[in-house]
Amino acid sequence: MKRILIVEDDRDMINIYKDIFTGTSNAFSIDYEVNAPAGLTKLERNDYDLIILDIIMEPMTGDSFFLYARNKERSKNTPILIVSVLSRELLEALRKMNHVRFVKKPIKKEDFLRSVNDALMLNNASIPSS
Amino acid sequence: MFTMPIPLRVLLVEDSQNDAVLLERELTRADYAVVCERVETAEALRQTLDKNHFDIVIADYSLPSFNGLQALAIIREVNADIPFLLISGTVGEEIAVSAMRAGANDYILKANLARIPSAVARELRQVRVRIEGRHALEALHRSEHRFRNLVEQATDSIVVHDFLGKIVDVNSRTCSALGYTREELVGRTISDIEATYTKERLTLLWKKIAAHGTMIVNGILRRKDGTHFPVEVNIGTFEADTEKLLIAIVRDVTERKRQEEALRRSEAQYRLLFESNPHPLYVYDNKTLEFLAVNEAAVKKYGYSREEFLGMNLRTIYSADDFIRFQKILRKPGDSNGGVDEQGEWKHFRKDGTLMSVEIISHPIIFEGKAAELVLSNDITEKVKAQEMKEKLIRDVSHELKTPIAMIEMAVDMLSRALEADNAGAVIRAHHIIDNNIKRLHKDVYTILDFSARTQGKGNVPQRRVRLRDIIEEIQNDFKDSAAHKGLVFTIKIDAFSARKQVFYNDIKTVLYNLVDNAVKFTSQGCVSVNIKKLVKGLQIQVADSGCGIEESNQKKLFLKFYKRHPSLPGTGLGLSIVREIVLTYKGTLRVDSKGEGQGCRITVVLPIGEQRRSDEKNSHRRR
Repeated sequence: MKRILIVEDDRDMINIYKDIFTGTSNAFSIDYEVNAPAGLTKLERNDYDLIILDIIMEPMTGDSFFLYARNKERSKNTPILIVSVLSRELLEALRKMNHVRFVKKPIKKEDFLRSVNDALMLNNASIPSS
Repeated sequence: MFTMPIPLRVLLVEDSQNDAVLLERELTRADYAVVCERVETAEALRQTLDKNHFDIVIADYSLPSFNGLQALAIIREVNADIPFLLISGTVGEEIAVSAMRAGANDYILKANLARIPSAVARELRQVRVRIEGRHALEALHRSEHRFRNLVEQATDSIVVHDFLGKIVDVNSRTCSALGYTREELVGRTISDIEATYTKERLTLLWKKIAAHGTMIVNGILRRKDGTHFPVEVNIGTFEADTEKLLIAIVRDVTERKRQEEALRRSEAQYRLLFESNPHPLYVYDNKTLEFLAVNEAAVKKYGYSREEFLGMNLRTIYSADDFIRFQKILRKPGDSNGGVDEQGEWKHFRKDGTLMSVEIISHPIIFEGKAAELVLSNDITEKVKAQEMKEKLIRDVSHELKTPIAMIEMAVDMLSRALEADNAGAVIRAHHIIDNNIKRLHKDVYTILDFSARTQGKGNVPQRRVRLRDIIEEIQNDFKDSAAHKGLVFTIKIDAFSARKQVFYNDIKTVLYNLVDNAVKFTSQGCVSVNIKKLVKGLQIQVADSGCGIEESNQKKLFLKFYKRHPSLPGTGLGLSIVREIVLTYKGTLRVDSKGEGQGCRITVVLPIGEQRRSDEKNSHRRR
């Protein structure tokens, strides 16, 4: 069972995630957070195997969330899957960082689940198997 | 010592062949190359005189058919100058005297013929002197005549006067210029024709001229008819007989003054155009690249004082790369291709070290005798910035539009799966997502079009008028869900008077929508409250939130076009700038209060809407 945190401020998008992850409850345990600061609090209290992150959010943007998350002991190596409409060039800096994958909206169920699985593999090498 | 014999043509009036030979011998001995012709009768004398030219006539007093005195009379009829010597064997004193009176030059006794050569030499000398003297006199007459003509026909007026100002002589030009006859002028004084005459001044001037020589002075002459004209006068002195006089050569400078004035005026106009031109202008020396002139706009734009500019060259204002590029296109000295040169876009330094984008138009001119360029330097920094803004807008807007489109695509994907699985709940959720995002697309497209129309002055399309209460209800509905979802307390307060007020729907809805939208967006907990009330000065709309607030340095930027605190923040960056445009149209005021980041924010808009006035204003605005 992999723990996933989804930080997304759009209720509609959360509904789409819920639909995509329907029937995967054996594989994934998912926390949804519509508010980035609240998402950071969640990161302090839990260990996640993957963070799925939106970029265009208010009042805290996804890229700020990303930097905070990387500075927290518990989440500094957690793989992050960025899901955004922003173009690749704007996210080039984020992509160069460790343990980051990028998926451009719109997403399709099968493709997206494959990306989630790929992203989950990112940390296998560096996390001591427990 | 050998001397060249002097040719001498002698007419001898003599009946004695012996005497003739004797005489010739005397002259030859005195080194004359004598060519002698001898006549004995008056008839022969006349004929010979007609035919030939002689240097001297030597005549014997006593001749068989006539005498020496008669010969003299004949000769003097023809030629007054030719020397005439009378010789005689025995002649008394009376004859000698009467001969001399009749014009003989000398009287010599035959016994004393040795005196002949010296007498001849003396007479020839005298005749030469006489002729030279006469020529000199003739020349003098001629030159005087010429001079008089010159004076008369001179285009300048010439006035001769004494040191008391009394006019002694004038030329005809003076008469025509002043409208007097010569007779009227001679005898008058300078005070009659010089309008600026004062005795003290001119007496002093004339004294100076007498002491130091010619001077050039300006004056104003008065014509007989009382009109005036400006003159330049060249005054000197000259000696006439025993008297020292002043000669004034007077030139009418009316035309010159007029041209000078026209030139001064055109120069002044040019200077004015240069100085008051709103665009920065400067002139630089094409050879040294030094600044020769700058206008006020250039001083303001570049930050250098005029003095600093004139001590600098172009190198100072060009960025290093641009200066190299500039040197390549520099007009070569003598390049006759003298057209206006649009040199395009360049980076120029201000004094404070900041760079600005300028568009350069250069035009060759001659300035203070130097090949120079007149340059118009148009600051297009704002234009370039606006272009960048536009590009940013297109980027932001396309991102903003991409999100709902992506949402709809994903919802459609979800919908097809829901239909396949016959999952009614998922169908409803997908439908809801599609519905929401179509609304969002509508709103975004409307905002962009509204912004575009308003910033291009096309925003004043006829608007329907509604009660403010109706708009409040719409706003309540628009934000009810999103506020509740975030757990925000969303309240709207409005006084009864304002609620009944008729307002233009588009304007007020847009103001309220954008203010509330902004407040809800940036508040994650607490409240968003709208307070609308009637003030003496108009309608006050206040939107307060307990959101993230805004630091003071950014408060001014809040209403700028495309301003976003962060590029990853949602939105077009247009909403609040549209609010500002509308408030400006109403000549209203707009204020931001925030104690800083995280301290919440309050925006207050006051629209001076009177009972009737606003609609008048709007109408007049619309007609424009």
